[in-house]
Amino acid sequence: MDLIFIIGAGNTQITSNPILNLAIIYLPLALLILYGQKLQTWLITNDLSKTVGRLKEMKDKSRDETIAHITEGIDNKEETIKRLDSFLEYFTIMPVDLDPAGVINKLDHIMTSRDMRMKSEIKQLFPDLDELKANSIENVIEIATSFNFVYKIVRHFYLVGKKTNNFLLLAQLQMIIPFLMLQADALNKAMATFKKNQPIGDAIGPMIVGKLMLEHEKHDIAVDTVYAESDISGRKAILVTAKGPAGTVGQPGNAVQELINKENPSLLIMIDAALKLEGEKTGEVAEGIGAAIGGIGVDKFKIEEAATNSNLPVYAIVVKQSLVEAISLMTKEIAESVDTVHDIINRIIEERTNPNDKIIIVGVGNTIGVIQ
Amino acid sequence: MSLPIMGAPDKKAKKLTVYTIEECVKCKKPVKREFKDGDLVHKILDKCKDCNENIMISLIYGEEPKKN
Ligand SMILES: [Zn+2]
Repeated sequence: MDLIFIIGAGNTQITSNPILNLAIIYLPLALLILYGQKLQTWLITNDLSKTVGRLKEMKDKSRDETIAHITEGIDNKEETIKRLDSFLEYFTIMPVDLDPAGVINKLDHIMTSRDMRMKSEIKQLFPDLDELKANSIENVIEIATSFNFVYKIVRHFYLVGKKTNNFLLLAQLQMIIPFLMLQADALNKAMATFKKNQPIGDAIGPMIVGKLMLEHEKHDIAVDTVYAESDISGRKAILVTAKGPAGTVGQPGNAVQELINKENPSLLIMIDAALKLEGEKTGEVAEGIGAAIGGIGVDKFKIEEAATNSNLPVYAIVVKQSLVEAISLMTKEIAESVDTVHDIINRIIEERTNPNDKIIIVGVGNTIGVIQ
Repeated sequence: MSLPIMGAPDKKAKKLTVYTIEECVKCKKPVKREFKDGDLVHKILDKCKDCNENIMISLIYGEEPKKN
């Protein structure tokens, strides 16, 4: 009975005119077949235009917040805002990797010059700032720059898709939009945390190692990186981490390379935050093998090379967290993993090394808000 | 596809309150209070009333305020 109604035959009639009945049933069907994709393109474009608008709002807000943060107590606001806008457009050109031999050195050189330039420009702009505030400004500008970049990329694909009426391009953009919005949300939250110098989830490595470094003499070993010597169960532990409480990751690659060559240790333990998979618990601690360090790959390369050359085993301990958690305020679950990781370090040292051995322990991550 | 490895956005945004945990380095009694500007992890604050050792900030973290 239902089926008969749908195909417009049988006794059930919409109107008394059979031709009109056919038109009512089949015309929309024909229209959908012919113009369905156009309709869908229109729907997706509408949806994306809303998202791009929201992203623009977030980006503008992050720019305003950055301005408020860096011009706090400064007279020459106009000039500072002008400089900030040029910072937001800063770009880094990656070295050519057609001939990959030696590309890491080039990458290292480019990234170091980039950091140095940023630091010196901020110093020039605000000569009287203390290191903590200068670093906070550097971080906040970096976040605003990333925001600007995410927004511009999304807008680019949206406009290209719209101008060429390219359904597939727009559909692909719509598919990845939730993940880009996740990144935008993370940047948004990071901004608030970095402004107040509160520890972020990624600071868990420096926090765990920093606690072991308390009351031991700290020595500089690389840019923004310190080490201290301590005794753990009769072994000489060399503790390495970025120099807090400013927001920096330091140069663990250079530091560890130098220490491996100088001290000839028998074990390297690396502690870092790691991206969790959906369903995994935040703050879960896991052990493994290999260089636990993220970033662009320069530090990882240096550590792996130095460890391989001296046949040094590398143990990794990671604290699981999501992308948002890693760059925004440290949550309770992450903070409370400190003691668990200390227990694991002690166990590894007792089981895997002998008294009087030398061990390097590295706390990898951004040490914002954490003193050693 | 490398994007989904970073996880999916949360449906509900969590509102976190920032807490600071102070602890005497000797008697280890933790005191939880709200975060104040200038607080840093491992910062030495006062002397402990009981044993005259240093009181240090041991943790700073965000937590969802308990619903009452
Ligand atoms: Zn006490």
